[in-house]
Amino acid sequence: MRPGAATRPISDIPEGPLSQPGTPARPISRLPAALTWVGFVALGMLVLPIVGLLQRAPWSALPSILSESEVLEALRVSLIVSLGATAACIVLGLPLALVLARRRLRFPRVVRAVVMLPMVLPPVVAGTALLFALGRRGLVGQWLDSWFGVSLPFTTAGSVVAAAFVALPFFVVTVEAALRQAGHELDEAAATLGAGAWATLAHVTLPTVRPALVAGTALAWARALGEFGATLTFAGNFPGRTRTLPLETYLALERNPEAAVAISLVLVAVALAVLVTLRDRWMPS
Amino acid sequence: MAGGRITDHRYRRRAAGLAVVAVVASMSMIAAGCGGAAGSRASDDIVVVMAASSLADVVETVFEGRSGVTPVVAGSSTLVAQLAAGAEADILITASGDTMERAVSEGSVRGEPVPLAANNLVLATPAGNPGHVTGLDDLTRHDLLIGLCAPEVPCGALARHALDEAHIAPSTDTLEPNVRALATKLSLGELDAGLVYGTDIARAGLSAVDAPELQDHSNRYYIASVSAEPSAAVQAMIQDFTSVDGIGTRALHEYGFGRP
Repeated sequence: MRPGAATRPISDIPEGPLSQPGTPARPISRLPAALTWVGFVALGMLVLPIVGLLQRAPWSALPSILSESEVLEALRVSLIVSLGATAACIVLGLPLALVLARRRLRFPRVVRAVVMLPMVLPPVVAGTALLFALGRRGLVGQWLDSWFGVSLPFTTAGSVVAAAFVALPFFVVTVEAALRQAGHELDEAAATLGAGAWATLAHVTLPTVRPALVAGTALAWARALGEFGATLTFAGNFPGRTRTLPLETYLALERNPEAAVAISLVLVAVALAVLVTLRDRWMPS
Repeated sequence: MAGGRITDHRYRRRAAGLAVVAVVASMSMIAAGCGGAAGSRASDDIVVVMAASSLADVVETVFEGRSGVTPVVAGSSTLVAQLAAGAEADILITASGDTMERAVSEGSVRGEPVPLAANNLVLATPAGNPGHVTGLDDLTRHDLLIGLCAPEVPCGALARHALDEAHIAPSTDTLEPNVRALATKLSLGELDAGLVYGTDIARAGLSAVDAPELQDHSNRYYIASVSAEPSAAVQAMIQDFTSVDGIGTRALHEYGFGRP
């Protein structure tokens, strides 16, 4: 029993996921038993497919499968595409999150819903929508093509655009929530003390939400890394150009399921490593 | 509350037990879904027809509003795997000779397979042929966006074989994972040319360009009775697809399939 934990007034207990470290551990007996059960079932639902993957993994053939040139090439494309998409999410998503959290918008609910749409759109539909908009015959794409000679479909840049489209909401939603929670009192204080808009942003606003920036970046990157449908529909599939690891996995499933399992393991391992590291380092648990 | 007093240990065991129940339940649901044919078979009077997914439109036309028949549509290799796993069906129609051969060699099909249709490989362009494609050679043009099916899937294997034989090295821009995705990109005008099946031309509203090199490159469809001694109803239904003026044969023709 921690001294003091029981005597702390309710109002002292920090709220929310971004609360300070040192929060007293919540006593388990407070939780209704049924809830705990369902919680375990949910955890099982998440873990079980991964266990299924692991028990079918061709461990001994793993090194040879993963050193195949096709797989390495797909890994290279995957890294370029997912990192490019993550960079785009930060550069475009941070201003959007700031606008959503700080500016008075005319239809805030509608705007927020629009931001989250890519999360619910089936990725194949997202890819088709991107074709309608940015394809060679698309709404904007036809002008890109005739004015600048730029055609995004079937290029690595197109893959980046597709991955960024589906990953952007993850970054924006995470950062916007943190900005709202942090409030703007500190920003205003900084402004009162004579700090300019940029200085306030760099020295006050962003440092306050640093954990959310990192979390949002990690989520967006993970989403971009696993992206399949939108990339395939918008950018197609060609080795060394647009064929990412998820696409390689999908095709491998047709010719050699063992290889598909092996490649999926790489995706799982990479994502798990990054997410675990980030959580421990940047997000209070 | 009683649940709250359970000790931690028992608590965990119960939770694990519940998880197992949930998993078993969901697995049996999945299994039931896979063996759809077996589950949906109401009585012996109902004929279950398993057909390759490319025949979905044909099957719908032929069996719409007809009682006494349950069509099951899925990929050929999926259907063959379901039969091997014990799914009950009376007729199997596959989109390739390979898959039918597998069903026969596994013993799940005992009737004699008969070819009923062919789906020819076709050089396709968006409607109106905006890239001015004139023949198979144009697949090497770098100023065009060219799409093929990935060699892992049947239409891609067929395309690769045909192009190899014609000594054409295409300047491919994308290898689509299935023929429908390829046809869609052609119909949207995002690709200038590609090799699809004859049935995709009408379905996706594409233009076909004459390519004599593709003449003998087609996928053959086979039909067979699952049982060695089919009932009269089953025999009649197979006749629908194999006789020249059968309702099935006419539907196949209507949707762009060729003669076997």
